[in-house]
Amino acid sequence: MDAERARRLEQLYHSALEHDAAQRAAYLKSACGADSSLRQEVESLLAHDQAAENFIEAPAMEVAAQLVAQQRNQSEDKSGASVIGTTVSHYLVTEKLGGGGMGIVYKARDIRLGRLVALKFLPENFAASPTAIVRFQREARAASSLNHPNICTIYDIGEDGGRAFIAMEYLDGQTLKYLIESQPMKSDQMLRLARQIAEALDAAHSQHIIHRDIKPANIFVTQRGQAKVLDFGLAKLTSTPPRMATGPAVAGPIDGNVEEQLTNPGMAIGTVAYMSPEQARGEEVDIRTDLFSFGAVLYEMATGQRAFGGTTAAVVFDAILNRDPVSLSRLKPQLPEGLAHIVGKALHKDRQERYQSAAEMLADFRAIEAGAQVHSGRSVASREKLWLPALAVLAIAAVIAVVFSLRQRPSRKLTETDTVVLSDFANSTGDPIFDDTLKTALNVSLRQSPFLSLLSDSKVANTLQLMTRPADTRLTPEVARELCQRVGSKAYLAGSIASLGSEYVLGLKAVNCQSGDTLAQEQATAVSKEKVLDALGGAASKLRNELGESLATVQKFDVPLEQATTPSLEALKAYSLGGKATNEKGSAAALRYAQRAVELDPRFAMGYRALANEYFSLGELERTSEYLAKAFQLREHASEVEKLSITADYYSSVTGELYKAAQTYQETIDRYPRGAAALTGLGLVYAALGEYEKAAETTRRGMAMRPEDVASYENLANHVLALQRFDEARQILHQAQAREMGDAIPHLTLYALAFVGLDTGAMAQELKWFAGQPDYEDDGLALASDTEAYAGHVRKAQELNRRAVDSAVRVDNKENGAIYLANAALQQAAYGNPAGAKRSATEALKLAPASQGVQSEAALAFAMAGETARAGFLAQDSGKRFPLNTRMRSLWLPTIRAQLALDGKNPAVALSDLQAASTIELGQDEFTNNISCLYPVYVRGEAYLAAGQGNEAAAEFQKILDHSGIVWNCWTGALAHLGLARANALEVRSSQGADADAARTRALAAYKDFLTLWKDADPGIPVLKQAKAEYAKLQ
Amino acid sequence: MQGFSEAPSKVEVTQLLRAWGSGDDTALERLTPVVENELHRMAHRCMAGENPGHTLQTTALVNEVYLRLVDIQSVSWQDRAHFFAISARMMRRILTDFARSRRYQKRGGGAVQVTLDEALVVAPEKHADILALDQALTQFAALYPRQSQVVELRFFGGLEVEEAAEALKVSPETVKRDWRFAKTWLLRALSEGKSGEKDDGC
Repeated sequence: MDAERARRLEQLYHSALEHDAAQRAAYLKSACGADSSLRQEVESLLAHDQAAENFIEAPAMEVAAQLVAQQRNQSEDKSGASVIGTTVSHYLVTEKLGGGGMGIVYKARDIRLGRLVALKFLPENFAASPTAIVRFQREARAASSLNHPNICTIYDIGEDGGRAFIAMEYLDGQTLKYLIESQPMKSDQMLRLARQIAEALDAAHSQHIIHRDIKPANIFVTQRGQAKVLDFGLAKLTSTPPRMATGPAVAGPIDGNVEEQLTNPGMAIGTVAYMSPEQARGEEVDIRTDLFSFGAVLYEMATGQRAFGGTTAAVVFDAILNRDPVSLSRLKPQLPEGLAHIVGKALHKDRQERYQSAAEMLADFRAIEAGAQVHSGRSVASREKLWLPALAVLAIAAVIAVVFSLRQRPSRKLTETDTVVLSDFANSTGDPIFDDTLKTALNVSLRQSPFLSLLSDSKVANTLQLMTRPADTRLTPEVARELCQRVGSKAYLAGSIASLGSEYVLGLKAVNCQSGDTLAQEQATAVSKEKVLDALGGAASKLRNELGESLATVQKFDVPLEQATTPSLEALKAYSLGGKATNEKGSAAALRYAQRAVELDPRFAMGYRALANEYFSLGELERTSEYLAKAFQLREHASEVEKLSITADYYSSVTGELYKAAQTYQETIDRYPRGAAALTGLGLVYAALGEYEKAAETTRRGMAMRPEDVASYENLANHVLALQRFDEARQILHQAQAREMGDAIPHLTLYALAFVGLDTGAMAQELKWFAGQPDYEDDGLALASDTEAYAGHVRKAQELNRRAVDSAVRVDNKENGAIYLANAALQQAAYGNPAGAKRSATEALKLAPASQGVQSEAALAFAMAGETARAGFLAQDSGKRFPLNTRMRSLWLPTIRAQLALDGKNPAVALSDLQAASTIELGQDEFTNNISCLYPVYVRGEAYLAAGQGNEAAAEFQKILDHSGIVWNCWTGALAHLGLARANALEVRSSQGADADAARTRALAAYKDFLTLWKDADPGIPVLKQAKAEYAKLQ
Repeated sequence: MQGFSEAPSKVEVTQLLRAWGSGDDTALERLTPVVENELHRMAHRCMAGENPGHTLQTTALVNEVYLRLVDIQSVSWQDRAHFFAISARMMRRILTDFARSRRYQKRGGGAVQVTLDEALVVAPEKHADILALDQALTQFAALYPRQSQVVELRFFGGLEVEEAAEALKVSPETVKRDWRFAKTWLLRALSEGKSGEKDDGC
């Protein structure tokens, strides 16, 4: 049908409807004339007119809802029956194992690896939402980082045909639910399982993973009697968040939503019976929530009946919230002493009164278990008659425990999910040069392996803290073993060196920290001190192979230790001490060791790298670049993993080729999937490119692997802050603070959060923190200065700025000082003080002439102050000096050029220059206290103003106001109000009638915002005078 | 913009809407996933509700989405219309994808049957086959672009007549006329499709 005919058809239809039904035929006959097919067409339409009255009147949403509702009634089984015998991803599904709240579980075979797995499909409504899938993957990834003999291992997550699934360890045995259904458990079996479950919880909690749904159905007992906790961290995926605004997308409520369960009589009681009071109340959960649920499970294990029973969910909730179960000691007096106490304490309604950690509970179990083991061995003896001294009891119990676990765990090698703790070397040579040095060397050697994952230094430090041991505790094999057990690592490596005449004998031993079994052992001899590193490297490679790494990768990643580090033991020693100092005392203290290391061996790539790292931590980017470039030059004198990491850092921090840096990080992640550092680096690169969502996601992935790394919390908080998610940023920082690792950067971000939240009390508190830290005092002063400038207190700002500069110079951080000056220059230029701006910029350049950041900012400041020749020269020079730098090329130079074009009254050129900046303009600047001042956006706003395009200008200034999480307290945030006012004032002139009135209202409001912000500003600031005059005129 | 963010930035959405309003088509490409994500999530929240008799107020839903996404203070009247237009289109896509996935599952394991018979005979207003309607609407749009937009806004977007008029910048009278014509045309197309072609198993 052509358009004309279609139009005619519609017209006739409407006209016909205007006629009475009886006259329609006659009307159509005359109207259509000879065209009988047209007439038939209209008539067939009219025939449907009546029926169409209610057609599609109900919105489509409702129809879809009905569709779902109908489907709900069909059993879940039907849709799943066909899965058996099919291949899902690379898993061949063989039989159904069971179903539960989290979906149906099948037994399947991994075709690639040949092993059996349990395949769990998530509820189908899950797969329909992309956000839910992402969230699921993230949670599963976190859960899959859990590596513990009592936690069911997650191998893989995936999606096939729109259904999300998890592949996990296939277990042969029964759920605890099945085992205790209606009958209590024997107390020795119960204790053994209880201890294992507590160990599993401890391991997960130490990684901040809360189970949220501990119940007998989620605990598996293998044929060998080993407890395995299932579905860690997955429970929250299926529960509905309490409020729309707080939680990410969740597909559908399966279990967990309290309100729904209360109102839904069909809801299985099994899902609520183990809930904690806080869950029942819909409050936030924490690790103690799991301990309560665990208590309820223990109660049932001991008695065969539920701690909180009832026939409807409401009754169960009432019991959980208000009633104490009958005490165990009354119900089961024959239970080992102390058990009733443990269960009672776990089931306390008030979390403060419960066990505060699984480790505490574990200790109590162990104590009872020790008593009970002995006790049962002495069948006649009663508790009262037990006379053995407590120590002896413990000793015997320990022996029994070791023998028991030896029998239980025959596996000897490591797998790809295991981590390893490196202990300190036992040095019996009497030569202190080997202290620390050999451990460092072994670390370097083993870190080449994509197969092994060594527990990071920061994690070791963190765990020592949890063990209430000082950070500088020597990791003897005993301490290493305890630490290893505590973090759920598989094994520890102990090394030794002894002298034998003029020779040295080196020993390496990998020990399973649960069983005490030796997993692998190597010995090597060095004929002289100079050959020790060689010998150690050789032994380490053999050990890697023995531990299960393929020969292929051992050979591929096997740079001789002397080449990977340094032939100078003295240099290596200094390097090692530096590493320790970083962890224990901070970067400032570590610096001199790194300096000494490269003095001793000027070809020591890792030494330069360490030096660069320390300078980076101290915020000295110029020196960071210098030493990173040196490390990059020498990168062939480093192991493969080190080389990749140096390369990535070189691109990101020295040449500034952000896309190349991202690529190198990605390569590292591909080659060494177990390393978290590349993820952290990639996150920072994304932030520099302004891709904060990606930055946050990547950083989170890294954090899941290395939750003890405080820097990641800081980074993540900044990424999230840049996305304007303030509460989330605050939470992340509080988590970091809970770890009590004092460093300056979280305080910067905390200050920013206080500023955007208008919390002057918190701002003062942060400033107080800075004031007490000589190394970071300048940061606090600079922040305070920016805040004063933001409010128009230019004199005060200037004074604080001066103090910040002096303070920075005092701690030999000239570049920071120069940046503060350059920031001040930009602000002075913008506030109408070009002379001051020129002075500050000149001084900044004098203080740190080589700094890229200073040069960029100074150039822009000169351009804004009308000193075009100087600005042009600096820009040209920057372009030459940093020809590859992504941000220089795509952001700074276009902005400076645009400002120069504006100076030349050529806004069109300015706008075209700034087009280059748009893709990365929100990116983070590494050299400012604020993440970024959004200069390109500001200059673009000014250019639009100059071009008379009010609406466009308004959008730019609004962008600044809308990104307070990026701009922080930078002056651009204050002047954006004025920019917005001027933009709207322009619109008043260029429009008429109601539009002009609306623009005037907006302009007046924005002027008022600015003048309110500057209500007690210093008098006489030119930009303020102008603003007041413009405001008066507009009124 | 994608991923698991709790709510995409209002600022961003508002800017994109503005950009689209002023003719930047790439803005729509970037906007679509944001809106779609949000609608998807809302749709699922409602569709996953246990009570089949529950009446869903699509308009309220879309409004809520709108409020959650957009900084209402800084959005012009026109942006609002654009937003509704996009929302309706998104909703159409989401719901047809959704219906398609149900159909797929049915083939796999025999689940729900929402046939045209049921749709047309038993309760036409409730169970119209969304997929068939979607196809018919595409044909209709080729001949009657504005009228098909009315359907999109009313049926998929859940808009009232006045709101649709606002979005399309036509009078409410026109919307009413278009709506009546479109419904008749579509119902006829669906009935003919049903008798003319063999049911393909949907």
